[in-house]
Amino acid sequence: MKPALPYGIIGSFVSADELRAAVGAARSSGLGDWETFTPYPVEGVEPPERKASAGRRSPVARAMAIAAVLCSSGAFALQEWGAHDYPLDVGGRPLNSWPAFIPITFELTVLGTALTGVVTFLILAGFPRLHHPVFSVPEFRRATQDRFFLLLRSSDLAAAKQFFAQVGAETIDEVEA
Amino acid sequence: MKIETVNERVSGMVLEWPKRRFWMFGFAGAFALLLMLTVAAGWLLFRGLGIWGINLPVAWGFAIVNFVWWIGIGHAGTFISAILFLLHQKWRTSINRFTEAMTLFAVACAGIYPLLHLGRPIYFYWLVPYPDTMGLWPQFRSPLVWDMFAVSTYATISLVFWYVGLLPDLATMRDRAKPVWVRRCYGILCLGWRGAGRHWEHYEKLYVILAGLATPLVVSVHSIVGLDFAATLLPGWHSTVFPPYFVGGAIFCGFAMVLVLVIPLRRIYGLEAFITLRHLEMMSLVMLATGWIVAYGYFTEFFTAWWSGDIFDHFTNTNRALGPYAPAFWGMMICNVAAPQILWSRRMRRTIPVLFVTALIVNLGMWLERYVIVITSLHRDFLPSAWGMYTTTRWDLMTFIGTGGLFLTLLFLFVRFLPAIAMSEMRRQVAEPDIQP
Repeated sequence: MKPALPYGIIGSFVSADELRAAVGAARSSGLGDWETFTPYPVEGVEPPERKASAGRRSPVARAMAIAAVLCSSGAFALQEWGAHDYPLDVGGRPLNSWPAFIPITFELTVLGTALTGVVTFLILAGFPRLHHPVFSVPEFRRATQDRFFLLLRSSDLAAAKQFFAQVGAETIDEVEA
Repeated sequence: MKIETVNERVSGMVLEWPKRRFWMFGFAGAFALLLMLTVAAGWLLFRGLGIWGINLPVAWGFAIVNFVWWIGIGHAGTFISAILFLLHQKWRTSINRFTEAMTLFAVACAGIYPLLHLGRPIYFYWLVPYPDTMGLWPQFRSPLVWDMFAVSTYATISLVFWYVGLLPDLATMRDRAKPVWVRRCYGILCLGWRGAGRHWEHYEKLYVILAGLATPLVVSVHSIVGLDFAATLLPGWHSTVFPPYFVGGAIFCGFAMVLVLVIPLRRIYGLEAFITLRHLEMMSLVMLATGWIVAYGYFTEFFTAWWSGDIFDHFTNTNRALGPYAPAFWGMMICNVAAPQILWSRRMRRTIPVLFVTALIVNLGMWLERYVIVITSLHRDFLPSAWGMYTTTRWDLMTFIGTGGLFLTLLFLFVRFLPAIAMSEMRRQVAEPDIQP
C-alpha cells in the first residue's frame, strides 16, 4: 500500500502584504493549486479558479436576484389570488386593491431573498464542514487571529518547502491528508 | 493598536470571564425580572385579558405602547449595522455587533406584546395564510396583517445578519479557547470557518447585499407600525405623517438605548479604546438630528389638526395638551424636544454623565410619546357618551418591567458567551486603516 500523500504544504506570514507577495510568487511559479486563509478579508489574493471567473457576477448575488423575482411575484400572486378566491366586499371597493398588497410583497421578497442568499453562501463556502485537513497543523489556529496562511497543493513537497523558504514564510508545515 | 490586541481584549471578555461578580449579580437581577414576566404572562394566560387595564374605549393600552417602544429601540441596531455600513461610516465597526444583539433582544421583547394582546395567543397562526379546513384567510389589506409579516421578517433578517457576521468571530473563539468542549461548541457554531479565500469572497458579497436588504426593511417595519395607527379613522392617528415620524422616532429612541447600554459596558469591561468618546459623540449627533424629526412630527400633527378645521382633530390635540393625560404630553415634550437640545454643545456631548442622563430621558420621553398617542386618541374619540379613562394595573407594570428583565437577561448572556465587538472587522480596520470595508 502506498503511503498517503500529504494534503499540501502550508506557510504562514505575519502581514497581508507578505501574503500578497507570496501569492504573486506562487502564481508565477506554477507549483499547482493554492489557497489562502486570513483573519480578515484580504484583497488581491484570489485563488486561481477565481481568476478565470473574474468579472462575472457573484453566484450569491445571482441567486438572490432570482429569489427576489420569484418571491415578489409569488407573494403578490398569493394576495391577488386570495382577494379573488376569497372575496371580501368592503363597501363595494375593488377586489384588485393592489396598493394594499405591496407591503407584504416587499416583506416576503426581503425574507425570501435574504434566506436564499444565506443558503447559497453556505453551499458555496461548503458549510457546515467541521473538520478540514488544515486543522491538523497546530499553528493554523492563528489563521483566525493574526497570521496569514498560504496552502500549496503541490505534489512536489521539496519544491513547495523551498518556495516558502524563499518567500520568507514564518512557519512551514506539512498538512496531513 | 495591534490586531492581537483586538483578539485578546474582545475574546478575553468571554474566555477569561472578567468582572465575574458584576456579571453574576447583574444576571441574577435580570433573571429575577424575567421570572416576574413569566408570572405576569402566566396569570394572563390563565385569567385572560381582564387583568390588564384595557377595556373599551382604550383597548390597546400598555401592550401596544410597549410593543411600539421596544420595536423602535431595535431600529438603531439595524441602522448602525446596515445603513452606516453602506455609507462607509467606519466608526460603526466597534459597536455594530452589540447593537445588532440589542435589536434582536428588543424585537423579542416587542413580539411578546401583540401575542399576549391577542387574548387567545394559541390562535396567533391564523394570521398566516395557510390552507386550513376552517375557511380562514387573512385580510391582506389590513395593516395589522402587514405588521405580522413585517415584524417576523425583521426578526428573522436581524438574526440571520447577526449570525452571518458572527461566523468569523466564532472561529476566532474556537481557536483561542483552551478547554476542548468550549472549542467544540464554538467550532460547531462557526460551521467550520477557516478564513479561506472563498469563504471571505462569498461572505463579503452576502454581507453587503444583506445590508442592502436590511436598509429598506428597517424603514418599512416602523412605517408599517405607523400605518397600524394611520390607517384607522381615529382623530390623532389618522395622519400621513405617522410612518416617517415613527421611523425617525424609532432611530432617536434606539440610539438613546444604545448609549444607555454602551456607556456602562465600555466602562465596566474597559473598552474605552474601542468605543471611544468619538463614537459616543457621533451617536449623540444622530440623536439630536432624529430628535428634530420627531419634533417636526409633533408640530405637523398640531398644524394639520388646526389647518383641517376638523373639530374632532382640534379636540384631540387640545385634549392631549390640556386634558387628563396632559402630564404625559408635557413630559414627552420636555424629554423629546427640550432635553436633547443640550447636545448642541460640544462640551456637553463629550461629558459622559450628561450624555447618559440625556439618553435615559429620551428613552422615557419616547415611551411617553407612545403612551400619549395610544391612550389619548382612544380615550376620547367622537361621541362623549363613549369616552372613558384608562389606568394600568399591577399586571401591566409587571409585564413591562418583566420584558425589561428579558432584554437584560439576553444581553448578559450575550456579553458572557459571544464576542461583543466584531473582531474580524476590527482586525481589518487596525491592520489596513485605509481600506474601505
